[in-house]
Amino acid sequence: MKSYKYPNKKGKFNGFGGKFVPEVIIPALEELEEAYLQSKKDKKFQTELNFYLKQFAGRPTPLYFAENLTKKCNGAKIYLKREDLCLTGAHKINNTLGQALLAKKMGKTRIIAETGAGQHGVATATAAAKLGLDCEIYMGEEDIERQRLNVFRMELMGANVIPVSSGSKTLKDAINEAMRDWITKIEITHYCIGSVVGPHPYPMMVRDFQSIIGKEIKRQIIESEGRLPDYIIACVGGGSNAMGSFYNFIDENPRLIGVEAGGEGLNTQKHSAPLNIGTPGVLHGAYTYLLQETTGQIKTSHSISAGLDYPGVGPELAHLKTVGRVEVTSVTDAEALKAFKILSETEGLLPALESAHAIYHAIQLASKLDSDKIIVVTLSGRGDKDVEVVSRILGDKN
Amino acid sequence: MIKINRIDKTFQILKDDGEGALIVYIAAGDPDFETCIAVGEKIAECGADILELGIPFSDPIADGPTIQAATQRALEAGITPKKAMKIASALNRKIPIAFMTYYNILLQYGLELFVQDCVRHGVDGIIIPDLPLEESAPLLDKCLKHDIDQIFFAAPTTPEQRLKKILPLTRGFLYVIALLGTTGARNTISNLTRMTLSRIKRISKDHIPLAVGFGLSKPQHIKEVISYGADGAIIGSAIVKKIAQIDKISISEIGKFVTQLKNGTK
Repeated sequence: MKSYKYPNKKGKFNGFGGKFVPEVIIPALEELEEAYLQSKKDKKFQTELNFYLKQFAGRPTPLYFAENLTKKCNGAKIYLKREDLCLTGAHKINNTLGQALLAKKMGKTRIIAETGAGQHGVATATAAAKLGLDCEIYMGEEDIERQRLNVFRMELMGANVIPVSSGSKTLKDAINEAMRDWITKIEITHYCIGSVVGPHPYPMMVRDFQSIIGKEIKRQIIESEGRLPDYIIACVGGGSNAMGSFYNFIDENPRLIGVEAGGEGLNTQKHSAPLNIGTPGVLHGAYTYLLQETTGQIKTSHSISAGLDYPGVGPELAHLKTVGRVEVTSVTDAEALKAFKILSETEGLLPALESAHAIYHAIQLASKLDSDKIIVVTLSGRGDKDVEVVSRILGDKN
Repeated sequence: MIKINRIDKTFQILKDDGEGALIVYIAAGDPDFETCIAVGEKIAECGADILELGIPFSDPIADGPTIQAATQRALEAGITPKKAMKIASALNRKIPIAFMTYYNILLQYGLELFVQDCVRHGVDGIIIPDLPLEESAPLLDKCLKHDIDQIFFAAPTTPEQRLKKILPLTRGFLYVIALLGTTGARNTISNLTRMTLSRIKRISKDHIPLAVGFGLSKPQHIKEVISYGADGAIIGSAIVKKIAQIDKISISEIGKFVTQLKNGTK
């Protein structure tokens, strides 16, 4: 089996990715890349990171056999990778601890981040509080409205949440604003990007920090089943939990499926599915699939889950989709809600609306497969943050 | 047929006269197609030496709030890259023009076609803030082929080794970013601007004109950067702010402001 070696030195995944950023940022990206590559070889850094992941964030997370859900589907076995059990309630902390430690190593005193659902913002605020860094979080006004509780959580940990009122007032614009902040205070600031997006080295670095998910899946499924799964399924917004889940299996047999937010349907303008029906272009420093007009203006995305509501996607996923290694599909708002209810009722687990997209696809797939097949779904976060949104929608219908 | 390399000539003539170049930025289609052309004509008439014409992009990460708002106005008024080409056509006889836009606009237009259309519409240069050295080869190739100036940036953070790679590539001028930050008017010129300029000058040895942008808003700022050794000054947000108030401020008032700015270069 050939071994997978992306990105190349220029940060390209077979043409995707790269460093499309203003000149001011380039030296900071080079500094970051150097510090990151050093930290990979630095035993002390790795020991420290592992300590925080284990003792602070609660890793490893279980790989949980969802027996009731499996029975309900009457098909393949469904395992859930329980990232919802991480500190802060989602996989985001795996990355923010790594980047915050790196920021300290580089002598930065201030960390900034963008956030959509607020999960990455909370995870950044947590790491910053623990490691003593000043923290400012950019969040779209519309997302602040959707995720008030997370705003309060960030503030409790001493972070300053800055509302973003430009453009669509969601994740895309929060990234624009965070980049502008970074340009302005680049010497003291580390920009902690929350997904496998942005200019090199971010897609590679965030993937590596998140790849602990897949590493654990591999070990745990062999312990419980004695073999690798047939399918690994994860939701894709920017794609950090998906790349984290998939990365260690790229050279192996499991089929890897990324589930994008279908919103109100791919035949409408209201979705977040650039891998499914987008076109390649440059946004936020990388060449990747985007939702855009033919003139190059970026379109506004839509999803019931703020964490998937993004018109771009990580460049590595764009590559893996192009070469056929990752299959992509989409799940609508309504279907995600269905899965939210089903998982709550069958397993007593409230999934994040983001993760509910992956769950829905897993349910559909499991029902069609034989009982000797194994599916692993990454339950990337817990759904407590979404209860208000869900109750509003389900309440309206009842 | 429009002559090429007019930007070089402009800098040469001004240098011979002991003047700096005034480069004025406006967003194409701001606040609408016709007014933009009228404003552009006035700016050229009142002393601007080069026009930097922005093609609006939905996600302008190098721009501050003033230019973002202009971008938004122009997009809402229905500006497209093709219409921006037409605005350039209407203005090019009076003044050399450099397009300023983000890379995705060119990618979707098609690099070859974009550069060809620049030639066809009398555009002299292209400035792309999110296209650093590392990613510049494909566009550079087309620009060299069609003799369009690809204008590169240097920032206060750009190290010497990197400057040495950028300087031989940039044509027309080198866009020197005056500060750490996005575009937008500031009250004073920082020490950093002076230091950055003198550092670049030491390496460039006057082989290419240096034009300073970001944060400049007053004739006094222009005087200062010219006295620090810049060959030109770029004014964007200060003009764009006036265009934003076009229902209160007349076009001739914008012209008067340009004349004041131009006096700063002398």
